[in-house]
Amino acid sequence: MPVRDEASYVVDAKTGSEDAWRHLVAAHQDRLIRLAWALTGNRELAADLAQETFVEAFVRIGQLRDNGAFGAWLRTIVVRAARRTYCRPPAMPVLESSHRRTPQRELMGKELRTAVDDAIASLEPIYREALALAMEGGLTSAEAGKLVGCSPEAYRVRLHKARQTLRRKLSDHLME
Amino acid sequence: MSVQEDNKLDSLLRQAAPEGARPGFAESVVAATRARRRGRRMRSVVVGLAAAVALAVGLGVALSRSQTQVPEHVERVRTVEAAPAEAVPAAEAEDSFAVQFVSTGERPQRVMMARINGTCIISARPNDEMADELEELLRLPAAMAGSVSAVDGGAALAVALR
Repeated sequence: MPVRDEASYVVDAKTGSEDAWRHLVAAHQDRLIRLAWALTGNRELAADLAQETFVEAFVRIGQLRDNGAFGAWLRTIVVRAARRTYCRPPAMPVLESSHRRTPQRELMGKELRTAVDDAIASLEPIYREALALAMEGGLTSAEAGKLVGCSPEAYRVRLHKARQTLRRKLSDHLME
Repeated sequence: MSVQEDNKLDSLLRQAAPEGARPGFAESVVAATRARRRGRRMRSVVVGLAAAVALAVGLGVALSRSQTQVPEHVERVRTVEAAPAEAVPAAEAEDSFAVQFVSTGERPQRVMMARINGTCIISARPNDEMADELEELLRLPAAMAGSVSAVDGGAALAVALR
């Protein structure tokens, strides 16, 4: 059975195929949730943002001209969706679910995860965006800058400041 | 800052990042998408219907003025403009539905919208000329020519949109 490329699933998704939606979600969900987390520093909000991003993408998928650019389009939508959350009051803390718990995750420790979440959440949104896109990878400074609406130089400065701040806030964990 | 320090920080962030989606995430996305698309379809029906009502009323006013007579019913029709609560689904099937507004007064008018095989049909006629027109519309083929004509000082509008 020939392997289908993603663009063909996007074509089907445009006709309303739920199987195509499922395939595209499965292909991008983990990456999108991590990106949403880096944009917010909040795990629960990240899952909600990722879901909202997929829904918005599928509802408006007819507007996507380049069927091969679905992943990049999702990235644009999630950045915009995250910006809409910046003015919201912080979400109530939710007990962490136990799904997909791995030995490595157990070792990681809740304390460290909380420290990283708090450090990211404490950054100004423009620095979180720069950090998130750097973690996402695959983008040049020019591409990332264009996505967040600044020059490549400004993007690099933002990323530098974001890393500098995180390094200071997480110094105890970085020395371990 | 050195590249080594950057790498160390990135490694820590990657370790702390969420592992991925919860079980059932894809299904919840599909269900939410389905619901959102259904909501958008219904909203577009109501908006289209409101536009049809506004168009019909506008035509009625224009035609009435051109005949130097402003019928009382025109004002009454205007009162039902863009009132989504009055849109009543007349068929349960998702791809073949009809909604209608019925005005009141001495010369009542009815504005209807039906979707048949992907074709959206909007119609506005005086009530007394089209008692069973809704049922007729539902039996029509996919295509229908648009027409506008004067009817007894008011307006008759039939439009097919694909």
